[in-house]
Amino acid sequence: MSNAEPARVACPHFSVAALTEKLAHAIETALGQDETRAIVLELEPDPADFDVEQFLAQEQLFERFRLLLRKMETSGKSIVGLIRGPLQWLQLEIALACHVRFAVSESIQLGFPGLVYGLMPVLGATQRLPRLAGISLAARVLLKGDRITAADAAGWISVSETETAVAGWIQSHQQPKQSWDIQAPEESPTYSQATLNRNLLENVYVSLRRHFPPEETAPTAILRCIQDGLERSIDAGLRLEAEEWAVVKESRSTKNRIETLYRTRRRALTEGIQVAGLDQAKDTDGLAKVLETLPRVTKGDPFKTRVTVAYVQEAILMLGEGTSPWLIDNVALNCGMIVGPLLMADSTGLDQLIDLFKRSGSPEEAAEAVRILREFTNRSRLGRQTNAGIYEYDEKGHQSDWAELPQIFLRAPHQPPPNEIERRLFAIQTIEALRCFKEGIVKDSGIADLASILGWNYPAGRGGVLSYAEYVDGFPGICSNLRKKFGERFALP
Amino acid sequence: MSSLADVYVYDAVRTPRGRGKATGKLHTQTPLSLVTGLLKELKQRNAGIAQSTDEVILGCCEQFNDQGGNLARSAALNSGFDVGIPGLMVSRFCGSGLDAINTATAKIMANQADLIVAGGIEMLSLVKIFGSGGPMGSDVSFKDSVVQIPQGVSADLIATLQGYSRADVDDIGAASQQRAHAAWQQGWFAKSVVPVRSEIGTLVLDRDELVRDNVTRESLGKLQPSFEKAGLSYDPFLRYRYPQVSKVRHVHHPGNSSGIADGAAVVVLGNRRIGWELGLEPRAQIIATASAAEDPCIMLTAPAAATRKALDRAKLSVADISLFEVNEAFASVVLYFMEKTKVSFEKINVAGGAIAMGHPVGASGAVLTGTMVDEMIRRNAEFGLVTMCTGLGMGVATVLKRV
Repeated sequence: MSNAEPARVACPHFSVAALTEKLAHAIETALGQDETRAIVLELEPDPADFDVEQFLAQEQLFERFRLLLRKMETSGKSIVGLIRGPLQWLQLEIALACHVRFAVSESIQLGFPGLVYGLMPVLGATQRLPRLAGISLAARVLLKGDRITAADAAGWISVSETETAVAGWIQSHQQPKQSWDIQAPEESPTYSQATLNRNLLENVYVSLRRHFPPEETAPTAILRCIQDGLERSIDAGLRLEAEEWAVVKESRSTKNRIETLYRTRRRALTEGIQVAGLDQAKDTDGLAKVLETLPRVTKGDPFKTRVTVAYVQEAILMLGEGTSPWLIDNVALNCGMIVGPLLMADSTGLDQLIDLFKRSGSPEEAAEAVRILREFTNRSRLGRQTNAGIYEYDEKGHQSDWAELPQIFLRAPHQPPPNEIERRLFAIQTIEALRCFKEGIVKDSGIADLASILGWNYPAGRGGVLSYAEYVDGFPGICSNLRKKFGERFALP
Repeated sequence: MSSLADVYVYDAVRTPRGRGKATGKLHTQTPLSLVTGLLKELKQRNAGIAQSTDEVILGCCEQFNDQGGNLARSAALNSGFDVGIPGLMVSRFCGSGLDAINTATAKIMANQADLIVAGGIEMLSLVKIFGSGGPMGSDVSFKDSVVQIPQGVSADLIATLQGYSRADVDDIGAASQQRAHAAWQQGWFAKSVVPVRSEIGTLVLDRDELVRDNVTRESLGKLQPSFEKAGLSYDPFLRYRYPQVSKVRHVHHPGNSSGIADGAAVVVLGNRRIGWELGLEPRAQIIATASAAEDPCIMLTAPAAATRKALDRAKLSVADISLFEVNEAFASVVLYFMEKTKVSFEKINVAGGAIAMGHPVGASGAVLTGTMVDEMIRRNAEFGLVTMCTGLGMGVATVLKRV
């Protein structure tokens, strides 16, 4: 092979298997040929949905490819990534390790869609993407799951007539090096201990915690890789990422997300099982959107209605006991619920809730909850529809305190500890779900879990409403204690 | 085994506090030059200390760049102290200067030193607070465990949780300015403040730059809260530690928060024998020290706990103490201290505080100690207590006795 003709290696797309022995061998062979000055990696377009099983099946090759990509970067040969269509995950990770990337169109989409399943980059993207694209864009892609286009990546992907551009680039770049192999970390504009970047990463962290509680392992690990990796050498950063992946893949939140949001959802789609929200969550992007949708209590779906009525009713009972509404809602948010139960109550409509409570299975508690709600409805406070419910709402829908509330339900001098509120709110959901299961309203525990996540944004990292019994340690004991303190509604069916 | 030694304050000097910005009068000085000026003054005032000092101990919050590299030893060398005098730096955020004094006290009390110059230095016009970094800013897991928020939001959180109104905090701010102004008018700082001069002797600054006249609650009422913008980001995050809080009321502004400042202060501490040998006159005695810690998120509440510990060690009660110096990091810190200790504001910060005169963080504990000694003598107060709040929820306290 002459110097003018680069070696060409086809990188299969994700749905086939991005990492294979064959691909590793092809790259290693090209790297081993002294006469080869340049290697063009032809990254096959991948429009398909993200395949988690395929990703996990390739894990045995992760370490080999980590070393291989690093070898590629430091080989002295020109490594060119050719992007002809959408790229995701492992292919994009390979592209990031090239010395240069050419795309045929600026509308080509790129992304790491695995965060919704609790996954993180494994071949160095947490290190290379921020170094190439800057911390802000990398955080958007890696921590929010945003897809970007080649146009967004103008600084590190060239959009041009590729063949001419590739030949020209190879001609003019002898023995190229990555910027991170030239600059010491502390001299790099992305050095994470620089004051500007420290402030930027602080904002990323605070924003992250609005969406993901600390119990979600993957986003925390990704941010740690960015923060700690960018003050270290690329090799140390890559090692850090591999160490974090070893933790993430064993974490409950990741295992739960994969089991329910991937495996069970795929089963439901394949077998045509009806689950509310499933039709909007067919692909990964749709799923991510469904998980951001504000839930309400509805009459349509008996399983969802039963469990969410029990959940909201428990919060209403706490309100009647003199617990601060913010404490109740914030505890739910801290566990990963997208809205708290009282805001959910206001969104549903308090008059509607009275109707639903009356039909619920625990008459004594329901009567008490109805009595509490009448304190609002008798004052024409019906919820968000009237801009007045448990909370007040301004014209933009922002909630604030209703000043009279502490007079109507005297605020308990000693507010309950957050973990007790959490246990009540979550145990009551699981108990009601178990009752539904026993009564045959749901017949499949996995589907019940999925329905809870898609239906009322139950925290996905906890696996779903039934999986909570295994997620939390000592669930029977928790229920037993709650039963003694708060009544028979906490009896396990 | 020898018994504990008595620890005396023989002298205390400080620079005037400069505005901690590029426009501040001290900005063109260096941390080394500020401390050097004070050590040279001590040499002049106290014959023999440049040879007899066992150690120079300085507190500094942000020990990097010009404040790095052991400024205590550097300043001792730069001031013409004997080459055999070592230096030690300590850091506990804003408590650093007081901790330098407490560390020196412990060494002397334990007969491990006879004479120590201890104090603090900070030039916030030169280094940013938290500029030296630390895991509370960069370690994701640690941040999750401490729920770190900006200290101004912490101060507002105290006001929110304790129900302090805007008028309450503005009253503290106005009083600080009025008291500081009066103290300067009456020359109360004449003994302790050493003017800063250039190398050729030109006067750079001879009084605290931030003190203002005619400040009232009404005039402060016109100022906009400073931490509302930070609150937009951090209020929702705060739910992880304080889920009961619906919304933080932002009541602090530049008029009721400590001024960002440059400054340095040092204190000469020694046992009875060295004072006698060098002919130094004891001005006060340090009888107890303590540190304490509470929730790092709310951050600024621990002075009351440190005070209790220090008083227990001194076998005294709050009622025994005539004067308190409670660092005015924010007005709510003082209000919280008053609420928890039941100490009246009449006994606290009688010569004004950091709201009026500025808070050169690592130096402030030493500044307050000097002010306390002067005021105890002026008012013939038997006992005084100095306390500081610090980052990560800690507090430091020092109990002094009139001699």
